[in-house]
Amino acid sequence: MRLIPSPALIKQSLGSHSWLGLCVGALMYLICLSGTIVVFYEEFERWEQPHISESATFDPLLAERAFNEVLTNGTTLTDHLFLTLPSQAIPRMTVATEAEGWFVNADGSLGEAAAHEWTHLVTNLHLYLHLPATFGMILVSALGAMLCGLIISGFLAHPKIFRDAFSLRLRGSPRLEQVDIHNRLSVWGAPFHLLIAVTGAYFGLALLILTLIAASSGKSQQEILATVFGDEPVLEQQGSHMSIATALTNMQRIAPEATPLYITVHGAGTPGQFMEISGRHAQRLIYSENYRFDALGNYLGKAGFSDGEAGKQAVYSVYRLHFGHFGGMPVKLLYGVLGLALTVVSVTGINIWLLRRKRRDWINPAWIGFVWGTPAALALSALTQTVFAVPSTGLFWLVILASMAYALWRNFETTSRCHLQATSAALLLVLLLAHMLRFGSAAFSPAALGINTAIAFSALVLAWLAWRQAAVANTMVNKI
Amino acid sequence: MVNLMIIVFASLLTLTGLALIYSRWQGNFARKVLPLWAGWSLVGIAVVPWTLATGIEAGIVLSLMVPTLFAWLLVAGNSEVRARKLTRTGNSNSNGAGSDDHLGVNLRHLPPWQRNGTLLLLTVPLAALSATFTSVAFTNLLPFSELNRMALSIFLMPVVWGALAFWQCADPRWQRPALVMLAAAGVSAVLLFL
Repeated sequence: MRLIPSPALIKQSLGSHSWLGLCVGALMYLICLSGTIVVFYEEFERWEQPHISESATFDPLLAERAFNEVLTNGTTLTDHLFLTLPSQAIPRMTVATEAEGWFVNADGSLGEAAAHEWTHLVTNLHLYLHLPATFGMILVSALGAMLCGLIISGFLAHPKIFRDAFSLRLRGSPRLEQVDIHNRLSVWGAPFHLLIAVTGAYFGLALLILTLIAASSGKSQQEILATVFGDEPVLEQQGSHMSIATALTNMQRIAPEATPLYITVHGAGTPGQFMEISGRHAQRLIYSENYRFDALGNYLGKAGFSDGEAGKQAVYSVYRLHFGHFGGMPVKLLYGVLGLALTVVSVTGINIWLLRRKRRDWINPAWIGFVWGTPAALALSALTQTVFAVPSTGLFWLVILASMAYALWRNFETTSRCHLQATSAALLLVLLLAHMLRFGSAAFSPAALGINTAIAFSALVLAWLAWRQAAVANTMVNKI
Repeated sequence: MVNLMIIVFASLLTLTGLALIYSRWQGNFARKVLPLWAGWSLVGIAVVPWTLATGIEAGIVLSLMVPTLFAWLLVAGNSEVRARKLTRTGNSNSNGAGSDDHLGVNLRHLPPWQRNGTLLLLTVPLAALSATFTSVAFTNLLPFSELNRMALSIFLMPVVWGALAFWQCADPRWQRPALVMLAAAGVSAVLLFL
């Protein structure tokens, strides 16, 4: 039995793949590029404030003091309060409401306000495309479903999958080059792409599914959510002090295998308040097991993510699977490379369509402006947000629009690409220098050195790409 | 240290497996199936050391992803750099070469905006609706607990949606997938609400 699809099916699959790809290609590019950065969001948060003192260990009594200071110092309390404990990825302690947060000094007093606005800009781009949260998240999740369709159609449209498995013909014909890059990256990267598609779709589409399940089973959405996340305990307590140190001590006894990540206080400042210590379990993909304690630190029970039903464990493993937060820096780097490859797949897919068309119109230069304007927009927004503390979401989109307008005005793709790559490289170098000037020696601390090295490397790569494009442009001018 | 050695061993198994597949692809073992099977088997067996080193969950994920990196390295090593073909202006297709657009295979008689608008309606809201209802209805028929059925439908739905969107664009008769999606959503709704 031959498993090769018929020529008609191949043609139909290719047509379907092209249409779906064009529908989502541009947004997919933004989501994949921002997602690649978001894999390293912990490192970027440290890079935004590299001068904050760091320690991997903490005193539970000082943590308790800092937390209770927020409860009593007149801060506007929200329903949830958070105490993030130092970890290997972020060796800093923070106390936060749902609206603002502060670092905890070594003596347990509240320190500088936590400000990770650029990281949030990129995270919000990845999660919502900067659209209103619910709509944005559903749209992004829909793109995950479309990615599933693209993977299916891509395989069916590729009958010579083994014959071409290791072929990579560069330069020659521009279309062949783009096809080879697109196919080699996407075929070998398919397991990662499918994983990202399904886990990415989860964040927004789970809500739709739960709504339907609630409606069809006659239960409320809260009841349905409680089957996954558990019911909240009903308590009536005196006073508002939270005995965090006692809870942490009890937790060490109850679950010595779990490493506390952060503490969430539900119903903060109310008689029903209780705390939930999220503990990381080594060699598990679940984000955490959540251990509940009352205000006095008495153990109430756990959520059951570590040993509950398979479905519960699977749902709570989505985050680490999607963002690659399960094996330390090596896995993050692996996700970074695979994510960047998916970004390239998104771009080369549209490039192939542009190269196949008989005609050339405004889309060709606009696409160059969009693709190569985005790194410039990220670099400039990082500069204005991190160094000058200017809100930069609007600027990010403005730079992309300006890059597209520039490429349309030049109407010469090689030159536009070269100029935008050079601009991105220059902006990254300016960002690096400005970060060093703004934070001094802290820019070379462990909190910032890795990201600053990555910025310098990215600037060099972009400069090299620009130099190559300039050489191509010069050859063309000489020929003419 | 032991973990590191197991990871190195897992990586070597994966790399050896891919090298065998690559060697077969290059024609070194023309018409011999054994190296291909041996290659894939080594890639598959590597899941054991990956699991030992990083736990069963992460081990399975890594054993699926690490081969990708090694395969790309082999692809890069096999790359062929040809003489660049330059267009006169540096613009793609400025010479009018290339084939016509091949976007989808159905509804081609409609003007582009009508065709794309119709396909968008069919592949996004209709396919999403159908995928949501059928996924929940299908998992409801399985002998699992409510929570497991719920989790399965959450992970199944985007794959079904993607597959339906693909079919909608690929089928030369656009009415066929559209009607099947409507019917599937209807039957599922009846199963769920009655």
